[in-house]
Amino acid sequence: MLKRRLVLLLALAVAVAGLLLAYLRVTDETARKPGEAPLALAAAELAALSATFPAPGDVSPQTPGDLAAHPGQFTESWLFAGRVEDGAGRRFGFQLVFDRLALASELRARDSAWAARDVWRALLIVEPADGPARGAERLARGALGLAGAESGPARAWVEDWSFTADASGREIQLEASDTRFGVRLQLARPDAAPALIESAGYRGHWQPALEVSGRVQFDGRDIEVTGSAMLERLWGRAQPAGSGQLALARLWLMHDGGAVRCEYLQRRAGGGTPLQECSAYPDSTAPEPRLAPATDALRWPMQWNVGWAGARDELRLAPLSHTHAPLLDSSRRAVLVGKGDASAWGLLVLSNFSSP
Amino acid sequence: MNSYVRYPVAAVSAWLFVLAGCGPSPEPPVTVGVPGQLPAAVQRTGDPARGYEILVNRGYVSCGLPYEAYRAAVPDPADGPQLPGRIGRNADLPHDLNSTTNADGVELVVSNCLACHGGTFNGELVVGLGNAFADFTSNPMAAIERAGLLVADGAPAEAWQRWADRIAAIAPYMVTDTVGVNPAPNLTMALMMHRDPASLRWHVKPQLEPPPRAPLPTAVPPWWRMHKKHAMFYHGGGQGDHVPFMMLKSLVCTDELEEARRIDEWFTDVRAFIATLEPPAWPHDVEAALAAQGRVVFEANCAACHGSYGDDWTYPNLLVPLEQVGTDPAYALQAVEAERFIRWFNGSFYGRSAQARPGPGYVAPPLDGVWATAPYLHNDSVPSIAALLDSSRRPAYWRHLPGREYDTETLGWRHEILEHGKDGVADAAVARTIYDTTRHGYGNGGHTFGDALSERERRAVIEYLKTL
Repeated sequence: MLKRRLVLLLALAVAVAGLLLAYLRVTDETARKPGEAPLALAAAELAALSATFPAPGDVSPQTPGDLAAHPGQFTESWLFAGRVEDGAGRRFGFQLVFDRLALASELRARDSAWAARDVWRALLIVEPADGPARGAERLARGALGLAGAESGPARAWVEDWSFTADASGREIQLEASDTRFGVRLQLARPDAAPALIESAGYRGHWQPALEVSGRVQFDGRDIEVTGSAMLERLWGRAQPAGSGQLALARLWLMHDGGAVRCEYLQRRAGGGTPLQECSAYPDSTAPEPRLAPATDALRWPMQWNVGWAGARDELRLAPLSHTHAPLLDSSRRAVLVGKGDASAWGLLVLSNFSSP
Repeated sequence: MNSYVRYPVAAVSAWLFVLAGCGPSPEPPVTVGVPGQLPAAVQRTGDPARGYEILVNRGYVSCGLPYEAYRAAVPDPADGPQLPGRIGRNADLPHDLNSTTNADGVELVVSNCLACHGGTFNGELVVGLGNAFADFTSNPMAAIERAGLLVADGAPAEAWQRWADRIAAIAPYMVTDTVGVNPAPNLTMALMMHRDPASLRWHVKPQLEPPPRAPLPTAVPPWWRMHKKHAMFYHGGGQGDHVPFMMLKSLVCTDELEEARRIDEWFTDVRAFIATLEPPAWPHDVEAALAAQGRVVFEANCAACHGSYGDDWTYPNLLVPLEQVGTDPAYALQAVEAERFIRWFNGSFYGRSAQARPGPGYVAPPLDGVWATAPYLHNDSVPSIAALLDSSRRPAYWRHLPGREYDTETLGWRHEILEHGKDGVADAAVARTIYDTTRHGYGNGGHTFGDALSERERRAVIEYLKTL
């Protein structure tokens, strides 16, 4: 009954993700047809456009942990997230994300300095323990120096938010601030190589256990912090996100035993059998955990239980902050901490769940 | 030679149930088949041309993936083997998928019969040739659930969910452990347990005790033999009108009698089309003198069960008892003992003109085009005719070699003989390619009649079989 080619559906797992729908709000002169509303780049057109780009596997990273730009790909992203604390033990979560999306396969010649082939989004969230999270997003054209990415050393920026890696790629500087919150952090990558990510729609790598030092700004205070972080680097024809009838929960968990990256797909309307795929770090043969929403699975579950075969107790993960930051694409994301396990923390990104 | 004996287990157990007074309304006993000549039945006549049009264009499986989602996943038209007579959307779909529109106006991509009944030989798609390379070793639900990523809200979402839920109900019963063998009987039983036999209403909760999770392996027989056969299926259990059996694939989605009647009418013509099919012609040279010798040997040793060929062909339609043929008994015994499913069929819409009556034996099939139908026996356990005729050459463990190259000497797909079975093979993907005849239902014993022939006689019979 199953057609083997349906496996290809994986390739489009993200074609019309909420993230991209946010981009659709951006005027695209290069793709617009005469008489067409400027915001009318349809999801179907984006999906078709993505297919004109090289397959993600066609890109050879310069190193296993390559952070360099891959402008020939349809979309790419850099994600940094972590948990830090100040000298008094007060904890913060942070997330800084840079996403690029191509709106045309090549830049058409136009007599405008605003002409751009790509649009960019950057996302900054700071999450204090037991307080409200604060977040901000920036959308910009890849033109006039407003946003872009460079290689050697790797760097991406949207206005004055940026990450910059040193020549070795081992040291990474994050800088982003809004009016009442921000981060200025130094991330040091571990010696262990990152874990590769291979999907039909995207490629990349992820890496936990980055050492963090620097400063977090929050409500007018500039706080010195240290802690731990993770990064994920992706490129390809798609980004992982829920769409259509499926919601996606992405969860990264860092704990004493290592780290794990999971994707959990479930029907938005309930029913069916959720699909879970996890990869462990650094040992890819480590037992796969079982994920289960700890709250109503259909309504943006922000708390999760994680269990392992043979282990009696499950780990409960819950957001560090009281609230989540509202985002343009209606996704929800939060740094998580383990209840009763101070060593455990994680990142949760939910997309395409049903509204309450 | 053993005489044909009626297999008593099912009937006796039913009568014991009645005599014991173990229930207020005992169900009537099930009558199982009897080895010997299978009873003939008049088949409906139909329009073969219309039957072909229906087969390759219509939605007799009435649920599937919304077309928009399918096209998002597979943007380009099919580039595999294609069939003539494909109309509209069908022309752009792979040969084993049809297009249809449901009652809500949602255009769907649905499976058709050719996923199993369309095999390739010499690179050509042959309608009616069983697909000996189909892979049912993976649970399809991950891909089907993932398809939801591409399905729009509203009616398309309802259509996808209905299809996904139906497949989810039977998926646990359709995963084989070996590439190439077919799970159709088991998944059909799984469908029966969810349906009311009279109204065809779908029950989410099974109404019958489930079949075993692990399907017994079956080979897909070629369609071009159907016009000779009194009964369908290896155990001879598909008796009477063949149409209801042929349309059982629609059990996945057909919830209304009205739809079942329409498909029944369609399949009158589909059956008529199938009855017109001829086997492909042997595509290589034949050593005529040797083939002539082989014909003599065949008629002396094989024709009594398998019939004779040529303009004045004969076919005896024999169900050979298990103890006589000696091939792996699991499939026939399972069918005979599955009383609840026999009862379901015979009391259902499908049982009005047909009777499920499996017997404790295997039908000696007609051998038209037999050279194209490797592997052999009802469970695909013997990779070539040469091994079928000489049981000492049957490998306990084997697997197809890549490239689907045909061996014109042995009449089978080129394969590799292994020293081990699946046990101990760490890579599950590799294990799935290994045919392990030590597993339940996968045995390659029996049908040792060729052992009595000389090597020269066997070679002659092989040459003769190329001419059928």
